[in-house]
Amino acid sequence: MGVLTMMEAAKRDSCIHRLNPLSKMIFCICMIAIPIITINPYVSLILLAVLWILPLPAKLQDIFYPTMIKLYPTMLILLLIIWPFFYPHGEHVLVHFGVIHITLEGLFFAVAQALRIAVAITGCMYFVMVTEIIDLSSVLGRALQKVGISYTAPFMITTSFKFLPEFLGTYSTISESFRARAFQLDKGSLLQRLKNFIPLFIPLIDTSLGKAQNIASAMLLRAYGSKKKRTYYTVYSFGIGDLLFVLMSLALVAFAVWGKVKVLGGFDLHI
Amino acid sequence: MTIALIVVGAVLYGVGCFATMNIVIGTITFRPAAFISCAWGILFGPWVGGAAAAIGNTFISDVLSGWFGIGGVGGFVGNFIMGFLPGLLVRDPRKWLPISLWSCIASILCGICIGGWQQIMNINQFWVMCVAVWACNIPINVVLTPIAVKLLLPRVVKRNLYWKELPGQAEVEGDEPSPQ
Repeated sequence: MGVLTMMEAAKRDSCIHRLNPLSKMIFCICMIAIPIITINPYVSLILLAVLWILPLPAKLQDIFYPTMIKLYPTMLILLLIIWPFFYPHGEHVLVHFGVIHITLEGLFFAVAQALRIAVAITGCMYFVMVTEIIDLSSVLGRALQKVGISYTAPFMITTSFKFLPEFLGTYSTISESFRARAFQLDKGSLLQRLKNFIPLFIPLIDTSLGKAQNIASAMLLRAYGSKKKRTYYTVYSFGIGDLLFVLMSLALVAFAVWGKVKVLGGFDLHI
Repeated sequence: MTIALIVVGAVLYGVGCFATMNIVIGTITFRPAAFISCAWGILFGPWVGGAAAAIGNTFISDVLSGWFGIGGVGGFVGNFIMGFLPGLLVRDPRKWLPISLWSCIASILCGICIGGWQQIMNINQFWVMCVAVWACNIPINVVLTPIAVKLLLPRVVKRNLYWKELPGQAEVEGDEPSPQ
């Protein structure tokens, strides 16, 4: 589970990590909103450049850049392959064979789509690296509670993340015990490997059910749900750094809107 | 108990999906663990199955793999349906046919949700995503869900966790026989 190790390693002490999780969530929402607002590749390129600078204040350059370089091809190659086939317009025809109609504009549109998604992926990955999900759930629960919404949903997310390493440990123990009995999990074709995992899943689920009962007992013992409002141990402040971070996020959104309105770079392709 | 089962189901589903994240088909992945969502719904009730699948997919699998973001809404709704529908509509967990049938229909709806959302967001083409999700989920759910339910049901009943036998369910389910 290299990603878990990577995520754990990404949790460092920096000015970005110390920000309020809510302000980082606003940043994440902005990064999701921008690709919805515009597909202009020039806007996306500038935003990507900004996003690639952000790991520096977070001291994440050794983790962020290699991760993104690995992630981009798997996420974007299909978009680059698919979109030219579905782009119906364009004057500069490259391939015209039966129903297949590929134009230069279609290729450009595919690149614009890929860049647009790259902005969202990069922004969200950065958010995941600099935010402790448990902190986010906690602060969300607190915020939701203030407006009268139950803290159950954030609690479930928090608890899931807390139990993640334990489950991975159980999975590892079970698979090791299978291997110790000369059961080869990685042997054979894809179908055979899938079949190999069935006897592994059953004890894993069975053990998990025991854990579920333990969790339920612990919750019951601590009188979970007896009070509508719960208290929180950590208090997250909203400082000047948070304000600047939120303003930066909103400025990126404003730039995307401006780029769309001004048709930046003369990009005017659409389906 | 419901919350604990949702948490455990979410972790299992999230980790199971994340474990096969390297088999990528565009913006979705081949996931042999997809059967967990349907099985969880059938064994522990539609809301537990739906919530576990939605949380596991979006907040664990997507976050761990870095896919959390714009496409997650479709995945959240689609996976919720995949856990919810079989739980709601499979009446007898001992019969493989309704399990396979409703798991298949739930997978189809999941594909429509993911493909539809990606089309709305202009990320990808509806049919491309739909077919990819169906290819990944339908065979797994049709084959593995009945097997998993058959293997797990006695253990679940033994632990008094089968949702139709929980206190308060008897009146709702009427005189439906116990699966054991």
